[in-house]
Amino acid sequence: MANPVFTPTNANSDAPVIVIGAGPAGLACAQELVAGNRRVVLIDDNIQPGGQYFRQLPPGYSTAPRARLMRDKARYDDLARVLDSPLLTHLPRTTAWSFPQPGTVAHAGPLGSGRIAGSAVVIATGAQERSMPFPGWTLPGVISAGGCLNLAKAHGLVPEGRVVVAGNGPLVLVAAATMAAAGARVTTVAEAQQSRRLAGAALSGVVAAPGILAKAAQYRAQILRAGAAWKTGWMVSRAHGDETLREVSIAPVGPDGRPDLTRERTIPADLLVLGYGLMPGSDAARLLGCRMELRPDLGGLVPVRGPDLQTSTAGVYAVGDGAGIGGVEVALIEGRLAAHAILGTPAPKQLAHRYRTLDRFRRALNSAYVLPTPLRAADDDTIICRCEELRLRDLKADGNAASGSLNTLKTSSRLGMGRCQGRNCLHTAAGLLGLSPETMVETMPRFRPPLRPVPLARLAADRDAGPAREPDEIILSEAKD
Amino acid sequence: MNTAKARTAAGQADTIIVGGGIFGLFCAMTLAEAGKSVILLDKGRIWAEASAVNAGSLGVQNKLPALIPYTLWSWDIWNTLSDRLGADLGLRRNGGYKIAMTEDEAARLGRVVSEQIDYGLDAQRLSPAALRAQAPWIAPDCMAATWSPQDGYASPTRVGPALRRKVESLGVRIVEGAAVAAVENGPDIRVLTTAGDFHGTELAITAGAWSATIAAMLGVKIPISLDVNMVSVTEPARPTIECIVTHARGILTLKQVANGSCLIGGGWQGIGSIGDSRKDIDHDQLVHNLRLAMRVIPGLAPLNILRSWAGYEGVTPDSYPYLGRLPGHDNVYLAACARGGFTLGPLMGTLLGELILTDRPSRPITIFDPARFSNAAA
Amino acid sequence: MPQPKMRFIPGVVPNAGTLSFSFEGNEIPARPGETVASALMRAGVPVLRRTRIENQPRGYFCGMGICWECAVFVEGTGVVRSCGEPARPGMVVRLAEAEV
Ligand SMILES: Cc1cc2nc3c(=O)[nH]c(=O)nc-3n(C[C@H](O)[C@H](O)[C@H](O)COP(=O)(O)OP(=O)(O)OC[C@H]3O[C@@H](n4cnc5c(N)ncnc54)[C@H](O)[C@@H]3O)c2cc1C
Ligand SMILES: Cc1cc2nc3c(=O)[nH]c(=O)nc-3n(C[C@H](O)[C@H](O)[C@H](O)COP(=O)(O)OP(=O)(O)OC[C@H]3O[C@@H](n4cnc5c(N)ncnc54)[C@H](O)[C@@H]3O)c2cc1C
Repeated sequence: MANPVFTPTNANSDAPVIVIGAGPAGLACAQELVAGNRRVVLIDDNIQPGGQYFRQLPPGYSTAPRARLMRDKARYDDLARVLDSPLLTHLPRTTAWSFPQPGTVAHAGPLGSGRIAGSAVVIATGAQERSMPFPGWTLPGVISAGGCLNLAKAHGLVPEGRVVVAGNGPLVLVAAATMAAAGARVTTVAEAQQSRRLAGAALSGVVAAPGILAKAAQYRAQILRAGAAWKTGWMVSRAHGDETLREVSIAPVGPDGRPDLTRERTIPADLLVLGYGLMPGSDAARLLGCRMELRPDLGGLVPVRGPDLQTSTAGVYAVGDGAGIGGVEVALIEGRLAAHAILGTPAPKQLAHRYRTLDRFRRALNSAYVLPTPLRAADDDTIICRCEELRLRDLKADGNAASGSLNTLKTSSRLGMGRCQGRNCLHTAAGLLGLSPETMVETMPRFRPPLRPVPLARLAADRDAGPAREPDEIILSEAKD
Repeated sequence: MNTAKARTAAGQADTIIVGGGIFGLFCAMTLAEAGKSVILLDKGRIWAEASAVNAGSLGVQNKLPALIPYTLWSWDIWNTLSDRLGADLGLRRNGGYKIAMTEDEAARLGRVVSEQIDYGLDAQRLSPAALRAQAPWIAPDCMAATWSPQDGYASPTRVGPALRRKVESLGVRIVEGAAVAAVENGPDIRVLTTAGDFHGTELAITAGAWSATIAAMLGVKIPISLDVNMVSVTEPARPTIECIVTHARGILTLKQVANGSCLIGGGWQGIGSIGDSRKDIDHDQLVHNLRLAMRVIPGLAPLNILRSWAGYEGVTPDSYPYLGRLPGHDNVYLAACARGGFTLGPLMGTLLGELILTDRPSRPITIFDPARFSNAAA
Repeated sequence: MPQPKMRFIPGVVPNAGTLSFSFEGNEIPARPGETVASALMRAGVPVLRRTRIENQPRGYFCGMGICWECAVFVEGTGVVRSCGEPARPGMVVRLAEAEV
């Protein structure tokens, strides 16, 4: 497939660098670019910058010095100073919705809609979560780890009642610790991975990144102090309730990746937090036509990048969790490294060295959490596509279920055609229908703009749209005379 | 039956059809129902090009006057298709408005509709007041409108799988991933593809926008130009526009389908060519398409757009489809390139099948003669 | 059985004052700057939308702009993610269903 060639006509002019995503990666990149005297346009669809890790409370909220929030505030404040630079334009609440040309970003938001031609584009759009559907997972009160962290970080909220956390991977620790720190009653934490495999991961990690491990140990202690039961090798099997969550069933992970229902236990719960892993949000790179590859050690489908973090599309860089799951430290460093590549300045030796270490660590960590068999708790009655309300049964019964093509299945079943644009369901459906990861990637529907749902009026408000070429139809009777 | 099956399995059939869109599938169904053995070839999966990605309008009002009878005949097929295929096709015949926003457009609307009525369209002119009463969601400054109860729509994504099931049950062998690379016409037809060779007594070309490339393999030049049509879809909304909306100048088609989503098209052009296989959005034209939709139906403004896409439609110089024998080849047939070919496809495919079967299709097809431009040039 | 609510984390100091908006006809108090989802969850309203086909309840899920399960309909604005939409005084909010 032809890759559009981005000839960075503006590469040496003073056209800004366009950074999409104001999370750790995007902010760090912007900071380094501004330090190098480059103009930057920073586009992010949230009200405030910070992305996932540095998610901010609403403007004006404050916190008492002893508030039990895990906010890493000092580092954020340091990064956020870049927003005051006259070289930086921040477009909050704005969606980068497409790329009319590889170097041009179309954006839309309440502040206006238009296009910006950049001297380079940096995709720093972050991760999304993996779904692990099971009966009852659509009930209000069942939330994802991101939902859980943002309750605390973005809204300053903690649930009353009993909290159960279940999942697979570092998110479980983070979510449970966040809830515990905020004062929630965390009763049970269920990690699907067996503890001995985690120990292996820990060992390989000690060498690479002791700081991060120390943090994990601290999280774990915090959760245990809060009195939660900690179970490894267990997974969620069902959620119960009518209008909202009432109870959660958990069960040991069987050898086939399914819950062993003979040993299922049901516990009361008011909030169930799911953390079944992250995957790179690769949509922007796919829309741009960047070459992609499947990398389990990076968490899934990622753009192919050179050592300078440039994608296969010249002038387009990809950094942070959107280019490979790595957490905040990797995101920060990648942002800086890409900035140096764009500026044409050598990256400080120390930075490059630390990146090599962290990169090794994150790849070991991602691999350690990869389960021998994918988890699977969905039964035929379980909703897979939340938007279109498609159950596993519907997908299996679809005439194209056996086509071996996700795209073909999508068109006949409506899988992934709702507001989430397939983010919640396409990957899981592929797995549940037995497509290999390679086939899934090969047959994945092409990503169609806009990158996120955008109100029609905002797309129509594009102030930089070129002239119309109306497709006036011919009228034969008139053409004749 | 079993011998026929063995023959098609060996790559031999009475008719080889190239192209598994709506034209090809209806042709296959017609032939197979009459007992012919059929192999249907497609370069990729069937039902993956225009027939799959189109906006699903089954408009009568938006057809050229001379095509009105054909559109109504095609509707005769659509009307009973759900029963025939035993499937929900998302088919609705709730009528449609055709609107004009300027005085020029209003004049054109008036002229064209008179002509269309002469050809059998059932439509009435609506006063602005009547329009506002019937369809308060259309912009109040709409200058003129006509209403026809004959317009409707169907869901392309439902029609395709149902047709596939049907033709397969009739014994048609579908071969996917069989891109035709060469055709040899001796006493028999030999079709060379990326999935092997196929032999037949007749060849039917129903390769949509690609039909000219297949004809060229037989040394025949058929003029086809390419339209890269764009469509956008909104999030589901409360049912309001329960019919289709078209435009006096053909530059807008709009409908709200069963799930509440609104589909917005109108032939605004994206980017791509047969050679490069790109089917990309032209962001400028997309924006203008959306602006026009919002101007005609202001209530669309807040709806979230979920996807925009583009697909290939082949177009003939006079916008009438091709249907008939390929010039110079008695056993090679062509049906392709109807503007509004989703609407017309059932009829066109059926007539092609009848032509192959009996040489006497049930409707006149001379205006669709594939030789009409080569004759003119000669 | 009353639904356990969300509350502010001890030590989080929201903006002073309250405003109110309506959700399905009920008056919901909110702090200035607070999102619609936050105010609803504090008020013990976990069901933010109902599904089109089966009328099933859905609520706040991903918290990061991906799932759209927290979508609500705001009069004069349209369907928005309630977790990213600040509450405004007098706002009229309903279970999500877009309108033309
Ligand atoms: C639930 C969850 C919990 C996590 N917890 C931790 C943790 O505790 N420790 C840790 O180290 N890491 C954690 N991570 C990983 C986290 O993603 C990274 O640490 C860090 O936030 C990654 O930074 P980033 O800049 O790559 O992406 P993000 O921080 O995700 O920032 C990307 C930003 O881009 C925006 N965006 C995306 N697409 C568009 C678009 N088209 N237009 C406009 N804006 C767009 C997003 O809204 C977001 O604000 C967590 C991730 C998730 C999802
Ligand atoms: C975006 C869009 C919107 C539209 N909206 C409407 C609408 O609302 N209403 C309406 O009535 N019409 C609409 N149309 C037009 C309509 O979709 C087409 O006219 C109709 O589907 C054409 O059907 P077909 O079978 O001729 O072609 P196609 O469906 O394109 O099928 C042709 C087939 O031939 C195959 N093929 C090509 N080359 C080869 C080869 N070398 N070897 C083997 N196989 C080959 C292709 O793979 C393809 O499957 C729209 C078209 C587009 C693109």
